[in-house]
Amino acid sequence: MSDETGQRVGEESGQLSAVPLLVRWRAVRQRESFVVAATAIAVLLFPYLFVRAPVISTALQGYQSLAELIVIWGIFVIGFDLLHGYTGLLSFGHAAFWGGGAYAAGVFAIHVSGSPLVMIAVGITFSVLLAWVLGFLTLRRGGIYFAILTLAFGQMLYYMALQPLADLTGGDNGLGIGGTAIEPLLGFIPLGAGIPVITTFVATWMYTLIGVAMVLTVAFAYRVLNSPYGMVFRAIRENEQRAEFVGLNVQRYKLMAFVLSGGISGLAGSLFAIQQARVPVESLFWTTSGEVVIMSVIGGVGSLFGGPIGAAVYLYVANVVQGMREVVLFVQVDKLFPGAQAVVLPEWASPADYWHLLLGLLFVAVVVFIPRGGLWGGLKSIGHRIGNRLGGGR
Amino acid sequence: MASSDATTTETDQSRQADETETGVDRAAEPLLETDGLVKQFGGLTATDDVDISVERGERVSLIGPNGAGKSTIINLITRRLEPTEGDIHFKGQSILGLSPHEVVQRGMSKSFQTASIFPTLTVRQNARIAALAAEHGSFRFNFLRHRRRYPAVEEVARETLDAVGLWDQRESAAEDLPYGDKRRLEIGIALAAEPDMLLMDEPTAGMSPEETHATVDLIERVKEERGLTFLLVEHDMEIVFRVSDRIVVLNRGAVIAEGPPRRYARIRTCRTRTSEVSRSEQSRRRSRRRDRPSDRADRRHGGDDRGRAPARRRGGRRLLRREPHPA
Amino acid sequence: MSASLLALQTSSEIARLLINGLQAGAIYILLAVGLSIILGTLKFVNFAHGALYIVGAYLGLIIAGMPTFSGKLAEWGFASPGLGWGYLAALVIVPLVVFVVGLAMERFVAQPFYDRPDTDQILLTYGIALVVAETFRVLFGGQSRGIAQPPWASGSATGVPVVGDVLAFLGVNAISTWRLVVILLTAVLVGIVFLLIEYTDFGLTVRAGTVDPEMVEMLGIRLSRPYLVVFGIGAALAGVAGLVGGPLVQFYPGYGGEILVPAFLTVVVGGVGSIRGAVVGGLAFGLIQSGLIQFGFSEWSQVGIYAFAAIVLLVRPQGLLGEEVAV
Repeated sequence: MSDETGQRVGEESGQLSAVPLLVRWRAVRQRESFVVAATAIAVLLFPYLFVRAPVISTALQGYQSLAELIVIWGIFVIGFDLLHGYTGLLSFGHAAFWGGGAYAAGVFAIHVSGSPLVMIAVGITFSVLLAWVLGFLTLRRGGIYFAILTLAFGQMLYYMALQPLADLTGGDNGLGIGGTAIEPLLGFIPLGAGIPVITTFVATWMYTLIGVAMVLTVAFAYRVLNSPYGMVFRAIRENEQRAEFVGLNVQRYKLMAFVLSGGISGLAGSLFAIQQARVPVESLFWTTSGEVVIMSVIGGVGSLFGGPIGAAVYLYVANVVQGMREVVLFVQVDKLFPGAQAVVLPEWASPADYWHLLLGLLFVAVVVFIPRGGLWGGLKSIGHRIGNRLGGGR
Repeated sequence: MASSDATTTETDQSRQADETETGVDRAAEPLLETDGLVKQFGGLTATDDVDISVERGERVSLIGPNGAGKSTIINLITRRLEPTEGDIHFKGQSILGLSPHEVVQRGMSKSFQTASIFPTLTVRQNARIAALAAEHGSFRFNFLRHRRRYPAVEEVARETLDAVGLWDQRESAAEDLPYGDKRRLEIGIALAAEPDMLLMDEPTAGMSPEETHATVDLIERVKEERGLTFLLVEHDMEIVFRVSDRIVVLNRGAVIAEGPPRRYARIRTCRTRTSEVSRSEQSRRRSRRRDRPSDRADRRHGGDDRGRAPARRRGGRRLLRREPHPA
Repeated sequence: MSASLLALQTSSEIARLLINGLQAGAIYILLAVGLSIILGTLKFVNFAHGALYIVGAYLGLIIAGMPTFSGKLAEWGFASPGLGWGYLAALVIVPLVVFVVGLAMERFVAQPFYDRPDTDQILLTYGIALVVAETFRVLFGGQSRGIAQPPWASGSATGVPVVGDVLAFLGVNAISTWRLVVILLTAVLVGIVFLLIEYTDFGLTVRAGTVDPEMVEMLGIRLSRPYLVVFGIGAALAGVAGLVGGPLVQFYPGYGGEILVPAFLTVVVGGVGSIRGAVVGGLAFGLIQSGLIQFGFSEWSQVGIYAFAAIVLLVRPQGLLGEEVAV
């Protein structure tokens, strides 16, 4: 999602009639309705391809709850990227909003009401308020201090949940909400039930809830990024001092970006609480903040779709690759449509011990070589090259 | 001012409009007035009881050797530094309680020593952000409305880019412009805020002679067209003499002389010395130009270094120029 | 009579608080001084500083004792790579080795990133920290470990000549000798670094480079070597922190990240680039933490230091001993 091509193309497409289809595609691609529709389709197809589709899902070894988790984390990464990728503020304390939202939703479910939609509303509200307070404290100093201070206050919340507030949070054991405490959607639709018509794709209402949240998040983020706010966010990222000296109240905008980002993270956190029916105390620990940083950077900083891709890669490695004892390959070259064939990995190549190290190395490699693009940037540049080949360059 | 031929009629109109508008309070009081400004860093007095006043429509240059306190004064006026003593009045009101962006909103823009732009955004986006800030003040617009619903902003952005002659490059990334164009874009950004007064910190630093000429032309044209008030900090005496209505000479933090350029005719004869200084200046500036990409990176993320020089990292690759520390 | 008993009790409480606080603060100080001088002079944010703590701790474990590990090393037949040379040997070797590690880090990690934005530096060093932690986990296994206290420093301090008498006079009896050793060692090391930075030519170069690297280079002094050494010293201090903290707090491969957070906060609270600030910040944290534990609020002991940091930042954003920063 490059910043501005849509308008540019829209205005000048008349002169560029060389490859009208390609040009029109480039214009359409930037439209909000298109972005939202594309997200919806991707969200709809993803669990099918990942979990149920023949051959592909066998090779991927995906499963439904991982698909749900990937989309939830995808929302979280989008929220994080709004702050880091677009406003240029690197937070190392986003676990506070993810875990905070999860705890708020969970505690509310236990003590008041387990309606999923209300839980989500509570989680978001809590994270927004928390972001307001933490933003006020951490944004007092810019640059590196922001990273350090968000890290520190995130840890403060972790220690709060761990000991002084253990009665409320369950302390070291985490907060067990329990599947029964979470009520059916709207009071009558159990989250585990299937959906008519699209069950093949999404399987459950749980995934549908998460998927709808993802689509809404993308729509919301896209809207914000294309409003004057989004422009100001980018301006702050590019040159904060200059932004201040054109008369923008940089502090307020930074706080606003922080709050929006915190709110989206809270949404993801409360979905996490609903999906897991428990909140581990690690969800507030700084390593969670680190994970979202890694996902965001691997997927691609400053792009809405990069984030979820990063989340998918990370969680896939952490959950599937990690336990792989065999790799499914298509090696029967003698057949026209070779079937899947499992190859058992030798003991020394078992990724169980190395997966985290591998992710760390991948992360370092991305930071060194493609710090802004990530995997999504890489995909896009390949797409551009193909497009240029087809369209004669532009 | 041959360059403004094409827009003469427009120019005249706008100038007239400005004059009728500002004519009333022109007699009343200066646009900017500092009153006994003192700034101390630890034991070092950077500015000592400085009284400067700038009338509406006037072009005033601040000159003086390195460490005379010029940048400190600019930083005090733009509210990046808090004065130890004294007061600053802009349009008759004290600006001491205001933050930097509020001062800008009251009509005082600044162009920086280095080309301070939004590097990876397009030229038009650069102008648009400045126009947006001017048009809608701060923090008022709705974050769910598409920016295309702000036609006035587009209009101001277009006018501004026309004024600085960058409309044709509007879709290039700002960082890809040649250095002179970057500086002009920067002046454009400052102008898009539609200020009454423009502070310029060495507007021609690091420019080639041609770029310098173009910039001086631009300054003169803008003054003619918009009736803008200027406060300049400049080392190049030629430009100072050409552009200024009045010169204020600083040394060791204090005003030691002020008056119209002709009074300093003698300085012209001493110019050999000055230009020696400015030659070494220029070599430093050139070294800065070489390293602009890293400059940019630093500026973009060095939030906490605001108010200090762009970078003080290693290798001395980048220019560091600010008021001397208590050594 | 009871009043004097109370006084004695109070004084022993205070002495205990001081010693525990000093000891807890000592680890923070050792880490924070290194972080602070690297951040202050090189403007480099080192999120991998905690990894150096871990390197120091594991190295100490191997040199001093005969530990058995469960990770890949065990699989490869090196289950017990310990040297068993004793703690004093570790105290000599660890700083030297980690110093060299620090040099390598500066050359191969930090240097290529000096011109990249701060956020890239943070991301890179965070990645390095991750890779180091995971490498240790793969090699040595993930379980928590501790270094055995050396026999000459274990037990109560009451048996130590002079010190024991003073403690007995104060009515303190449950202080282990090790705590005193940690405090003393920290004081000596930080004192040496302080003298090095404040009173030697090397320190002068470094401090000058902090203020204006370009000017220093123009004077013909190359800064790359002093910077290298500063990084090495900071690293060595972190290594010592790991070695010294090992007998007090259990560590595991990922512990570096956990200990880094309060260390960074110490730097920010004390004021970046100031050794005094790091010491003051570390002491404040140590005292708050041990005070809360001693007076029955142990569950708040971690939260307390963050709350304190929040208050400091509200009142003095530049840190307790930080310089005024232009906003």
